[in-house]
Amino acid sequence: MRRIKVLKLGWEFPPLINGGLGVACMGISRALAQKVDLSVIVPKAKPGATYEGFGLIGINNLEHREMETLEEGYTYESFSVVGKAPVNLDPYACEEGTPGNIVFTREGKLLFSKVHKADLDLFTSKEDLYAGDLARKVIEFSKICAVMARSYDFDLVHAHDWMTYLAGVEVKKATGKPLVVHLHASQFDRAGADARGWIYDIEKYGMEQADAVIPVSKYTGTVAAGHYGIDPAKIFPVHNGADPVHVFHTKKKFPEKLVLFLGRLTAQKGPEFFLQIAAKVLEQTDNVRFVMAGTGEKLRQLIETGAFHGVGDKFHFTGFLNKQKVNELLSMTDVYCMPSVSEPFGLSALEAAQFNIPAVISKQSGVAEVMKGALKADFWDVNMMAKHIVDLITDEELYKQVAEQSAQDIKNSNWETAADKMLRVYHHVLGW
Amino acid sequence: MNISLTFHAHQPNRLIPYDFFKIGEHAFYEDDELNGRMLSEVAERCYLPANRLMKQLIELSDGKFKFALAISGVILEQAKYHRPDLITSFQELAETGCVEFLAMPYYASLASLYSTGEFAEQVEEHMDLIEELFGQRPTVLWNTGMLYSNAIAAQAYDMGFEGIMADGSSRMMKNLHPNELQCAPLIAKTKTIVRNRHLSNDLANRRVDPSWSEYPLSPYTYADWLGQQQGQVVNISMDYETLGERQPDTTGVFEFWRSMIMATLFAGNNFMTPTECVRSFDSTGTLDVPSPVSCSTFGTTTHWNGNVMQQEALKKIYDLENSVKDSEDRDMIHVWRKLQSADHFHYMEKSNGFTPYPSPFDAYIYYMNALADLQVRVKREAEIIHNAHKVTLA
Repeated sequence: MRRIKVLKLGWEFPPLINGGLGVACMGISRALAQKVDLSVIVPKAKPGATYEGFGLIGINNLEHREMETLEEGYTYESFSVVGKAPVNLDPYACEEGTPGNIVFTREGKLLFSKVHKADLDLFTSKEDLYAGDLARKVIEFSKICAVMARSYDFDLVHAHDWMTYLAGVEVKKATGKPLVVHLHASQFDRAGADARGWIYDIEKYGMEQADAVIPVSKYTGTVAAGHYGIDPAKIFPVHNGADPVHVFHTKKKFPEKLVLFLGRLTAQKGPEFFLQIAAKVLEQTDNVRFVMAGTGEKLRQLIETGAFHGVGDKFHFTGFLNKQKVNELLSMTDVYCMPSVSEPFGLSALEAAQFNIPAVISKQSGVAEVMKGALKADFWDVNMMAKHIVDLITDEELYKQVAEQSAQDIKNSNWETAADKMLRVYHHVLGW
Repeated sequence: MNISLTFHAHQPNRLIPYDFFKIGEHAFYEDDELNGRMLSEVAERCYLPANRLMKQLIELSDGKFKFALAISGVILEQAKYHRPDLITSFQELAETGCVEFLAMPYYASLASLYSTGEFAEQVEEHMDLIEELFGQRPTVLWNTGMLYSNAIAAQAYDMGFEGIMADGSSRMMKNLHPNELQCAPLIAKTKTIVRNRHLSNDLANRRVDPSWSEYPLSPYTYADWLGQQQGQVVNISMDYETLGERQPDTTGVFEFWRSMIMATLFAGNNFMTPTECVRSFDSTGTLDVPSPVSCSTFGTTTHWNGNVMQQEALKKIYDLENSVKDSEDRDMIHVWRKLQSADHFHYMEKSNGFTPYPSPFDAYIYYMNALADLQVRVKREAEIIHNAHKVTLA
C-alpha cells in the first residue's frame, strides 16, 4: 500500500510562534512525516526554515503573481454558511465583541475578488496572528488555501483548530478530498458552556463537515459530542505527546515546599481555585509557598484576592516567564497543581512529570486520562485539592509513589504513539 | 502675631524589583543606586539651597527668624552614605541655635497605628540620632504624615513629650480655633500644636496653581495675611521639598520665601519654635480625635491602608515583630524596620501617581517577595539559635 499524502493546515508553527497549538502541530508533523507524505500550510512560516521529512509553506512567503495564476476561475462556497464575522475577535475573551460586522450574503455561491496583494500582506506584517482583524485573516487564509490546494496532490486534508476549519472545508469542497479536523481547544474550554458566536459556529460547522474529528482527549471528545452535537461515531480521541525536555534540579533558596501553578491567568485555567486551594493548605501547614507563574487578564484581580485571603506572604506571582525561567521554576518545584475548569489536554502537567514532580490535577482535563499516578479532584472541589497537596507535602511515601507512577505515565505519552493512532484514523476515513 | 514654621524632610527607600526567584537569597532589598541618585538630585535642587537660604535669613534677622525641622532617620541614613555634605549643611543650621529638631519615628513608619511598643522604640532611635548629629534632644513629636489621635497623643504624653503636632482639618477641629494650642482628652501636660491647614497649603500647593484666585501670590500679601491672624500662634508647616523640588527654582520659590520671611519680620511678627510655643501658651480647648487623622488630602489614613494589598502588607510586616526582635540581630531588626516606612504602602495605593514602580500591583509584589525573604531569614536565624541552645543544654 502506498503512503498516504496528507495536506495539513495549521495556524501557529515554531519557531515563529510558540504557543501550545504550534508546539503540538510541530510534534504531530514530525512524527507523522515518518509515516505519510506530508505538506503543511500555515499563515506564517520563517523564510528558509526547513523541517525533516515535511515541507512547510508559509503564506507570508508567497508572491502575489503566483497567487493570481492559481486563482483563475475558482468560486468559493463555504462562506455563505458562516453569516456574520465580527471584526474584532479575541478567542480568549469571554464575550465576543460586536463592533462592525462583515456581512456575507446567504445566497450560496459567492465569487470573491481575486486575492489582492493586501490580503497577502495580512500575513507578512509583524502583527500578531491573533491580533487585529482576526476574522478577515481566517477568511483570507481559507481563500488562499482553497486556491493553493488545487495545485497539490494529496489524499486528505487535516485541519488544526477553528482558525483553519473554514480553510479545511473549503479545500474539501474544492477538491473532493476527505477532511479530518483536529480539536486542540474549543470555545467551550476558553469561554465556558454558554459560549456562542462566530468561533463556536465555525467549530461546529467544521466538525459537521469533517469526515473525522480528532480531539486531544476523551474529555474533549465528550465536549465535541455533547456541546457541539457531533456524531460520536466519527470522533477519534488521540492524546498529545510530550517532547522530552532537558531535566535538571535546582535547590530552592527557601526551606518551604513549593507548589506551582503555570498557565495563562484566565477563567479556563482556574487560577481563582488555586488561590482558594492555597488558602486551605495554609490553614493546615505553613511549611509551603505557592507560586502562580504566567500572566493574563485576571492577574490584578488575583493579586488582590490573594491579599484578601491573607496569603500574600506565601502566595507569589511571577508574571510572564520565558521558557528558561519556567524550567528553572520546574526544577525547584515540589508539587504541580492544575485546577483547570476545562482543559482539553494539559501538556504542562506532563512536562512537570518529566521533572519528576507529582501533580494534583482537575478531573476536567485530558491529561487526567493519561496520568494514572496524578492525584485528581473536580476543579471546584478545593477541599479535596488541598487535601491532595497536604498529603503530598507531608507523606514522603505517597510522594515517591506518585512521582514514580508519573514517570511511567510519561513513557507512554509520545508523538510516535499519537501519529500511529492518527494514521489509523486516516485509513478509516479513506477506506483503505 | 506669633508664627511657628516647621518643615518635614524625608526620602523613601525604593525597593529593587524583588522577584520570586530572589526569595531566600537575602539580597539587599533596596535600590541603593536609585535612592542615592534621587537623594543627590533633591539635595542639589532643594535641601542645600533651602538650607543656605534659611541660614542667611537667620543671620540677616540676627536670630529672630526661627523654624523647626522634622527630618526622618531614613533620609539622614541615606545622606550618611551618599551625601555626607547634606548632614554637614543641616549641622550648620543647628549651630545657629535657631532651628529646633523634632522627634519622629526613625523609619517614617505607621508604627503608631500597628504597634505602640515599636513606635516608642523608633522614636527613641530617632531622638538618639538627632542628639548625636545635632546636639539637641527633641521635646516635640511629629508623627509620620502628622498621624494623630487621642491614643497617639496619650502615648506622646507617656513618652514625656511637651508637644505633639497635628494637622488641623476642619472635620477634626470642629469649632476649635486652629491658631490655639489644644489638648487631647485627659492629657494636660502634652499640648497639641495644630497646623494651620489653609495657610500652609496656600504655600505648599496653591502658590503655583494658576487657577487659584490669588495667583500669582505676592510674598508681601502673604506676610500681611500672617500678620492679620488671630490667636496664640499660627502654625505653618509643609514638606521641605516644597522649596526647589515640588516648586522648582523657576517658580521663584526661593525668592518668594526670602521676601516673605523678611516682610513678616519687618511687620513686627514674632517667630517661635514649637517648644517655645508649648512653653509660652496654655491649651485653650480639648481636641477629641478618636480615630487617626493625617495631613493627607482627605485627612484620613486610607492612602496607606485603604486597599487589601496595603492591609495585607501591613499585617504581615507587623506579624513579624516578635520573631524579628527575638533574634536580637540588630541588622535584621534594622532591615525589618526599613520595610515599615509608610512609602512602601503608599506605593500600593491605586491612585498614587508618585511611584517608582510600573503599578501599585508591582509595588505590592516586590514588597511581599522581600517580606517573604525576610520571613525565611528570621526562620533560619531562629533555627540556628535553637540548635545552639540544644548544644549548650547537651
